[in-house]
Amino acid sequence: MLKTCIKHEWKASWKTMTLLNGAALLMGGIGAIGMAAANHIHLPSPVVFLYFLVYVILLISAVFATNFLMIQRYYKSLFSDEGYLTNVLPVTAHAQILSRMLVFAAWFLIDLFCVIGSIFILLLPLYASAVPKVNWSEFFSVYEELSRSLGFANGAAMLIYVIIFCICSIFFAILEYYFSISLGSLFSSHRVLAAVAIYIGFNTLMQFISSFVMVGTATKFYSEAHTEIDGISVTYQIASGVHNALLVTLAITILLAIAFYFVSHYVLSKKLNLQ
Amino acid sequence: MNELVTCENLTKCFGNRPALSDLNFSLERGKIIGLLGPNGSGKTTLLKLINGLLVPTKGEVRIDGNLPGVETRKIISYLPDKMFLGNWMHVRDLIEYYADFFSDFDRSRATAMLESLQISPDDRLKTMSKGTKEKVQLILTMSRRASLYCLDEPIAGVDPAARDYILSTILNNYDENATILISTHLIADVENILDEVLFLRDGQLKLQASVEDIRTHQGTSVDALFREVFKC
Repeated sequence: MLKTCIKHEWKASWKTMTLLNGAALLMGGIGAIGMAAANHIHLPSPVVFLYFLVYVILLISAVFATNFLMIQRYYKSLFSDEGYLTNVLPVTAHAQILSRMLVFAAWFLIDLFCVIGSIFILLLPLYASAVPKVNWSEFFSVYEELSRSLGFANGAAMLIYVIIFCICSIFFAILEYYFSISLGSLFSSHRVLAAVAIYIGFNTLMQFISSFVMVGTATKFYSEAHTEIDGISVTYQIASGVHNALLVTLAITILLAIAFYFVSHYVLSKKLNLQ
Repeated sequence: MNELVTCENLTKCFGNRPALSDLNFSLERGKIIGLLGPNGSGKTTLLKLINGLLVPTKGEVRIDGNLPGVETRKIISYLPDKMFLGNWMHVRDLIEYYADFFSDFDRSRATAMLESLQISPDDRLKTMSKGTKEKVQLILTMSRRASLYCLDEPIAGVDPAARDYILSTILNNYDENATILISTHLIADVENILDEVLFLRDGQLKLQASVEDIRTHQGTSVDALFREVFKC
């Protein structure tokens, strides 16, 4: 039934999301044409300003709309009047949560690609004409050096870490919303307000704890290294400990996401109280 | 086993206020049962508990031997007293939705009923009147070949003609082995179709009796008995 849940969750969200992401790509294309045309004709400043204003608002809206739709779908379909149908479907609470999580994780990734794609399209004429060609071998050697200085075995290891961290962060963000909404539903009244308060409260607590830990352990991130430049001994610090800190951050992100998931599942399967 | 629903010491409290207190009863298969009581007597709470939308404070309810869950949802068709369908959906989306999730959904039965009301599959819920939406909800609920139908106030707030349509839809679309549990306070309208009644008052079971018993032994109609039991 998970596949069926995903199918209908996708169906409920694809129109709005496709429209927003399509508009983001289209605006990038219009901007690119405008930039190419600017070499031959004069574009009035207010038009250029207006274009960039609309463009930036559209890109931000696409990301915000995904967040909004994700929260709205979870709350509305499970804890409002629509929940009177959703919660009597012969599917498990796991399928209900997983389907929503997977669909919106996909939309966040599509958003990301569309926003990057849109900016790439917009800058294409600029890159083709004005910007000097990138020296890729130099770029990769700098990247490799950066990876090693952060304690990774090589550039590929850092790339894998970044990809895994991005995916986990998306699941973490989604499940944190689900966790807050689920806990908010346990209140007898003002459930949305309670969910917002839980979300803000939990984030504030997390910020406080992470700042405290960062301050306490900052000196452990760096180690001293020596080198000689023109016969003079130079001591410098390398951020090798950052690698360990990043791994710990990833582990905490994964553990918290799992905790959010199981709390949401518990509320949906054992504490559901539709009023 | 002819019992389809059994309640043992079923209690539900909202805060300190009990909505249902120590309910003990069982319902047999193949009956149309009226769940009757004044407003606030616990009818909707009982239906929600049967459907797993609320968790009991104490006691349990079993449907076909199972606690509310995935297995019981396969055999219960529930019509709540709310507009539970997404406004953005078209009728054809709803039919597909029901057909995908409920293996007992009879698509041809739903299509025929929608056609008889001149509701097109391309119609969007957002554009429908409240009465039409209620009819769509009823059609979808009654198009399942379920073992238990839980209908919460299906005829409240509709005109008499619509009331007749709803009652005939219910009667014409359930299998003989299925049980219909119909909650209402409009007793006179449903009295003729009921086999049995449950009277609820302040969350407690006041009476469980067959309509025939009420008529023959007490020499009164269900409506008259209700007025007598719940006299203010």
